[in-house]
Amino acid sequence: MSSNKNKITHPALIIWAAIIVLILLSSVKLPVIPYINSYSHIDLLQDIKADKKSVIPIKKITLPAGVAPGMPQMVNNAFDSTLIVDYADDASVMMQSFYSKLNALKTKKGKVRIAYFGDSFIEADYITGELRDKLQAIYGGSGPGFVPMQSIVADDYVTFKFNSNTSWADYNFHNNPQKYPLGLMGHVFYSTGRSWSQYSATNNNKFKNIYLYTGKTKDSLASVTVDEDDKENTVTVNDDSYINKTVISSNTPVGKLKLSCTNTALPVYGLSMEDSTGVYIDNYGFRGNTGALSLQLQPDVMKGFASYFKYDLIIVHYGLNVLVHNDTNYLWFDRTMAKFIEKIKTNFPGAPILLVGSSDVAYNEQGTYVTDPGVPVLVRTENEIARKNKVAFWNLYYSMGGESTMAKWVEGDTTFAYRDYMHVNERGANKIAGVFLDKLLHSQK
Amino acid sequence: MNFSLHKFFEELLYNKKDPLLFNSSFFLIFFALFLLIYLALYKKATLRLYFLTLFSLYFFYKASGWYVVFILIAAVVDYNLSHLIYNEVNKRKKKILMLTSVSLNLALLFTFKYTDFFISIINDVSSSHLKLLKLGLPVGISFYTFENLSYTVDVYRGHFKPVNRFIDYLFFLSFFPKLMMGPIVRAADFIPQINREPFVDNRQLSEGLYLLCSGIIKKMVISDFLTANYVQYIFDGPSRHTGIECLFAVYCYAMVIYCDFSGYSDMARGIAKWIGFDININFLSPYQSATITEFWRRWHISLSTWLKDYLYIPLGGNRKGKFNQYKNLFITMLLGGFWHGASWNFIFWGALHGTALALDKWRMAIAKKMKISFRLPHGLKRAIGIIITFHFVCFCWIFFKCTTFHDSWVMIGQIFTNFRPDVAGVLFTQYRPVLIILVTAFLLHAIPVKAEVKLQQRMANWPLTAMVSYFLICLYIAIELKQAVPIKPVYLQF
Repeated sequence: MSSNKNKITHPALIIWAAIIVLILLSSVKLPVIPYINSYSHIDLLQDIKADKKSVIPIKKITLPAGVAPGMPQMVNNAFDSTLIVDYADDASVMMQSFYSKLNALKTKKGKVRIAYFGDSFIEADYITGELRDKLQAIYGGSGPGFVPMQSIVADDYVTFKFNSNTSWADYNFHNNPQKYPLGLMGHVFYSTGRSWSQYSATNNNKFKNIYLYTGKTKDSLASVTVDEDDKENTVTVNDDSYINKTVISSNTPVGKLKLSCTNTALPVYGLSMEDSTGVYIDNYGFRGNTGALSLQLQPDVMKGFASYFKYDLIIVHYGLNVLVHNDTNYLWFDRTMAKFIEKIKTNFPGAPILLVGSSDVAYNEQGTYVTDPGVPVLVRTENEIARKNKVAFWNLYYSMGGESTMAKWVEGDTTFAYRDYMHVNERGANKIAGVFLDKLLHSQK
Repeated sequence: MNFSLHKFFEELLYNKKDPLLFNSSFFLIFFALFLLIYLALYKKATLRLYFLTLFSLYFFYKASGWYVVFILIAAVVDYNLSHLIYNEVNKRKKKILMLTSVSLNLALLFTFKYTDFFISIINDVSSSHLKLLKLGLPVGISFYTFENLSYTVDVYRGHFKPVNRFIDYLFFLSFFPKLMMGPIVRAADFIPQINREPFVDNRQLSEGLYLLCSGIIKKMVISDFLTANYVQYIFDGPSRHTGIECLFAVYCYAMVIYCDFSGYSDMARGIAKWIGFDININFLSPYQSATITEFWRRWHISLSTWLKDYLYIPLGGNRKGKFNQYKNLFITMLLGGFWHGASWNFIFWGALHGTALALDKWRMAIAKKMKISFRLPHGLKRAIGIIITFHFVCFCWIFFKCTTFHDSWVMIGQIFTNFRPDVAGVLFTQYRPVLIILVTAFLLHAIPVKAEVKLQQRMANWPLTAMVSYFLICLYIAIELKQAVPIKPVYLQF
């Protein structure tokens, strides 16, 4: 089958023919056929062409009312600032009242509690865990605070080991046809007959005060079995209120705790594990939440938890799921946040509220990852939301590094974020927690 | 069109952030220019040799910067040592020279590849805080070091006479198609081709075309696409994903690593064929293997044969009884794993394969002894074997890919305890292109080798225009997918 001719010139012919065709194609605008090609333009020689100015069309931006035009410079000081700005006009709900309570911990025994509402950015106790550790190191306290009955993520939590037999029925923001009363973290759990959860403290930390939070059930003799360091006993669950708190263990350090429940009608939320003094942050992150899901929280549930968790600060941090590429209109988010903030003010009266702006998110612009143009717009919108609703605002985007931070965090020699260019990894979470603490402390007057 | 001469010259220099790879547009143009000059002088033996060698060294420089000097050093050292070995009559001195060559080669490899690994072991064991050297790895060092070793050992064993001219040796070592990712070429196969006038017949032309296009499709269409659009998300944080997502990622990675590696080998072999040289086949549809033993006869053939000839057999091979055979297999594979990378997960990966190979040998020995044969049709037996072998290999890939053991166990844990088949609908809707590419890749992989050979034979009769069209189509598909924006990851609700 082989011919006698030496066809050694043919490869060159093939390659040069191909190159010439491709060069010709690159000077021609090709029709864009869906699923066949994504670009009308093929550029083989991109590497040796002179740099073209970036020609991304940015839609005309409609600014929220009260904001001067011109991007990225802002007339509003808060947008440039990495410190927390407080738009509250009532002294009792100003950040300053939180700072006073925090500082008082240095001299007097007391407890300061923070609620942190968010999305997947803080799941698995990311950021909240590191921030809690840092705050507890300065102001005292030990223990993770509130933890849900069943792990809502697969990842290990930062401060303890968590496993359950995953047989709890999990009703949550995405799955609640019977409208069960969902807890602040967006979940409520029901035993399916033999459900249990186990917590083991890490690093020789032991849990001192352990409380169980449950809802109401018709069966007034609901009980749970508690196995503390291999000592088992039955605890009758209090059932007087809409949300009930039952003491599981008080002031005796426990290293391992297993809690089982056979009652299938008892709504179970979770435990809180804490010392009697110090700082605590309760992580209420829910994957995929734009903030709209949180509007499902029932006032009775919120008030019920408010009676036990007297929050000294409520942090609200959404954005990751709000961001739409290159979008310039976040009015719907504006309305959602207004409603949620109102809900918090009504049901957690007296607590300062801190709105944390969206983190940096990158997108692929013709091969390079840069900050999505929607991010600065979203952050500016969030600032406006804070101002309009008279709460405090912290510009996380700016504080973490601003433009193209995510790209650097993913592509640098040390990585601080995952390759989705949206979520931070453990290192990044720790970094953000550090920045957050720093700005929190520096923002005091 | 606005060309920048400055940028053109910049492209000629080494750029750490964008080292030269086969699948870059620069290489295409570069190779095209190379061919023009090559065609002008290929008939003049010495000129051809010098040109090819210089081009190879430049190619190496473009890929790896000033590290090119190490391949020169390695060539000088071994060229001279091999002559000393050949001319040495005294058996003991001969052995010492050979061991010197082996030590020097391994020392070079060790310094760059394994120093930091051993420093961190020392730090872990003795609470010291020695600083890591963080030397970059010279491109191709794992490959040309092994070629060097095989050359001197073969000379020592008396398999052949060392080459007379240094340029011949340097050419053998630096021959650019195989420089970066192999295959590991044996001197006995390559040296005879050096001074032969290059001849490309119809078959070589079509095989070269087929291989080059196959490599482009594998590397850019399949491997890069699967990685950018799915695999990297899952392996970045397996705990954030359900078991089904993780399993899908493992299957994708199995295809990614195969396409990446064999794609490179294909391009290397295709380019070599087009300039008149033959490099041995390196992959033979390994996922068609029904046993792990068969797998290693089809996967990275140049490495497994090298390990057999220069590690397994010197250790004793199967000549010292069954137990020693299994032990030697295990040690060989352990070191084979370590060759891939300086960390425990590669060693563990090698250990897994070593254990499996030993067990397989034992199974075969028992089956032979007891004359057991399951009463199953041959086709069914093979099918079961293929599925089991593939899944075992995939299991091992988890350790190969995950940089920490923690991530590996998390991934395995997710697959076995948090599978969540209910999210399949959302998963495959969001990642439909990934699923399509993966299934297509497996279907292509399932094509019997005989059929591939037949296709290449038929291509030999194609007119030039058909060949150009085929090449263009493959390039176009590859460029399209390379320019496409990656699918944004989706986080499914647990």
